[in-house]
Amino acid sequence: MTLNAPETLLPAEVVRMRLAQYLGPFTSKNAVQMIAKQAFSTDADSITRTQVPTLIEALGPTLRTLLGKAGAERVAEEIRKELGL
Amino acid sequence: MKRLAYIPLLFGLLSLAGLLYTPELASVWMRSLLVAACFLTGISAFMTTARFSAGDRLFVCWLMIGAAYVVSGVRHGVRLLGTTVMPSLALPDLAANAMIIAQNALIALSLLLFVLAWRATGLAMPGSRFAQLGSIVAGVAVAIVVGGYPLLKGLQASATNPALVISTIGDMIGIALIVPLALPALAMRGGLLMHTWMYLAASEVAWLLYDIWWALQPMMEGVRSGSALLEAIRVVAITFAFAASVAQRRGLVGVRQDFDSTTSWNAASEVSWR
Repeated sequence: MTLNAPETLLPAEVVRMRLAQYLGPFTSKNAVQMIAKQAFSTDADSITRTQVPTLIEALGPTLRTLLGKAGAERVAEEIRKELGL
Repeated sequence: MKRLAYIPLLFGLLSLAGLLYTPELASVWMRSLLVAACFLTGISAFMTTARFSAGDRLFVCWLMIGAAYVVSGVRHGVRLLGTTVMPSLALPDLAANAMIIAQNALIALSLLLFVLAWRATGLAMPGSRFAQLGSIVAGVAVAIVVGGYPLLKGLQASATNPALVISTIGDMIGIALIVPLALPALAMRGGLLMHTWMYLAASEVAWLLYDIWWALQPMMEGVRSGSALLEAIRVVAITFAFAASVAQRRGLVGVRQDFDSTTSWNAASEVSWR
């Protein structure tokens, strides 16, 4: 599958940028950092591509609250697509 | 999205244009605009509700806002018809009061649910905890100051007009929630969802101005522009809720087109991480 996101970007950066479109840079950065700490006990920038599905899963309730079920699923799908997952 | 803010401004100016007519015509003009604004906002909120699933937190919020403004539209619409083409048409006091109570309770509850939804996300707010708490307390203090006098008047008249008490309490809750609604908007600045929360907060700011101006009305007895401005502020408050509902829909659907090309990816990264 062709990646939409440039490969030089960290996976967390891809997630942050996608979320920033909806939540703004401040909140998207905080959200990804918060979930990275909770789910992996690590900094967001240390997240690997293979950990992204878990990250997206963990972001689900937050996204669903703000975007609704359909919106959250769509954003998750877009992130997966951009990372070629 | 920013251009949505012109809609309340436009409605406000249109309402003030009523001053160009005779007092009787102006009243009909302003009430017609009010009814249109209520129904427009109610229908738009229902359309936004439909974008959410029944189990989503914001589904109930938008449903309540839609119901509140449709109820308000019906009440003002019946009054408009009663003063124009159907003089015999009037809502019984009990029904009119029940509608006022329902409208105010629904709006206050929906805004509270918006704030609780944000809290449920666990996302951080901008500023220190002290600054957040301070601004929330300040917002509540303003609500008490602004709503205190009408509430006391309402309590004195509660035997004859319970709707006034509920209406004032609803206004006070709404005013107290201005800061909790504005903080998420601040946290999401630069994002599409910011506009929804910002316009909801702006709507409550307009209701705050409405209450202040309403309290000043006895001092302006006979000044026509005073009551015209009151009507204009009310329409602005309602149409800010309309703008919020449109912003929410756009926020849910508007991104995909922006972000599917490499060009817009680069543009987005410049905007987001500068």
